[in-house]
Amino acid sequence: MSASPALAGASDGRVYAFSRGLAGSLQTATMAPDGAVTGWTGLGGRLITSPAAVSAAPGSAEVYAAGTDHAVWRDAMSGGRWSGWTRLGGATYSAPAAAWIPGSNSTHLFARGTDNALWENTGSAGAFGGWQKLGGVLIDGPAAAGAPAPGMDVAVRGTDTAVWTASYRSGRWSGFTRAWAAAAPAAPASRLLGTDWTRIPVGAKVVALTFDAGSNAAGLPSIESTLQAKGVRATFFLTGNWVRGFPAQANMIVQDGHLVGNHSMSHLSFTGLSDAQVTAQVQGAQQAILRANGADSRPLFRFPNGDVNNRVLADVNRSGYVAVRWTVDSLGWKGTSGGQTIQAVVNRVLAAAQPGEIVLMHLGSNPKDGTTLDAAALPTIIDGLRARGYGFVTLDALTG
Amino acid sequence: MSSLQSSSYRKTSILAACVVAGAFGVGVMPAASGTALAAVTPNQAARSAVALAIDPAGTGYAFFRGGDDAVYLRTVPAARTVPCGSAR
Repeated sequence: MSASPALAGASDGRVYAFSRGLAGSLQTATMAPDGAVTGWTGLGGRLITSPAAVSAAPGSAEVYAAGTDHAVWRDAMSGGRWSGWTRLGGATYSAPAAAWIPGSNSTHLFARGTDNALWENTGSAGAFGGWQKLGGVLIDGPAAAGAPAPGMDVAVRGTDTAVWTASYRSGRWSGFTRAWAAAAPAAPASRLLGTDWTRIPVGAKVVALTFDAGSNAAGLPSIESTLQAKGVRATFFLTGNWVRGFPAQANMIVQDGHLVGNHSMSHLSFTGLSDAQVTAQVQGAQQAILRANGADSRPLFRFPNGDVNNRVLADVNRSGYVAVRWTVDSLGWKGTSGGQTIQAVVNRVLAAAQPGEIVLMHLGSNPKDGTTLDAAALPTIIDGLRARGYGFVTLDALTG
Repeated sequence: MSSLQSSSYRKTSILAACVVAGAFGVGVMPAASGTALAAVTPNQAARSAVALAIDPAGTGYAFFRGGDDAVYLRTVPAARTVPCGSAR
């Protein structure tokens, strides 16, 4: 499976489970009241998010997810027969949520719109009234659940990373209330400061694949597909400008379970910047990434162009970040116009294989020739490292 | 991702959280260990989207991934009346 599952409990005791498979299609399984679980069955579709599901009546279930067109889609089952996917419109990069108010015949859908606000669409028997804006500024997908009274609650994460909730009772919504103020993450361990790390200091045969994003996203679909197919999690260093330019892709990286680090706001070489400018670059990117896909990029930072000295390293550390360089640069970013080939990229990475190796690759294409050599080389790199006995980690193996 | 703890431990923690809950629940608990309630950061920040469930009494349960990648559960009491337009 390639995304978080969704469950819907029916009043007859059945539990319906849904998850996105490796190829992006929806899979479902059912648990009977006696605990017997069916195998997974494919329901088709091409999903970009986790699903949401409800069951409003015995023997029925409804499931919702965003498709590759970023619209929300619906499939429903009654009497063991699935209706097939129907498009409900809207535009989202995040997983939707669904709630059914006990005793009602309405399903309430919620989604974080591409404007980052919360939207609702209410339907009955598959007929939906259209999306209505509820407002707010969300950093990732909402959650929703039916409640006694009757009513329902929604929970979202706001730009302060806190969880906010709102309730629907007697036909009207409350405002949002912050459920609790989120504590700041712990500062990095002092042993991690003052160094631009070039490998993870471990003896185990593990490698961290890292991808920098600063130009475009041309290689990302292939890279994501390869990582999913081979069951590898990676670390992506994103710039603030990149997540603003490619919000769908920025959300895809998080929803596929990868780790996100900070690569500055606009990819300037840091040694030419003042301390204040360095801090603005780091914190600006942190906020941009958080608002784009809900990821807290702390504590991972990579200097643009690898340009570092002790002063800017200290600046970055003071902002709560550990600087991470690389063991080997694949040089795929140079493209064929720079004399590189897929095989040369593979050979360079495999030749540098060592415990704790950090591999630098890029998401974007070479601006001159349009090639994405890192994406093309990735399957062979993963296979080659595995053949040499290496496993894969993300950079939290460094920061703990 | 860490799995949740045994149901008995979870239930105990939820009840304890309800007892001490104030305006909002305080039932933060780590999910990585099934044997002891480890010291955790108060008001653990969620590093993932939240999953929400509500029991028949109206108490909400928010599940999320914490800073250490463990799954956390926090209670969210029911029956709030908040004016529309609260600042966010």
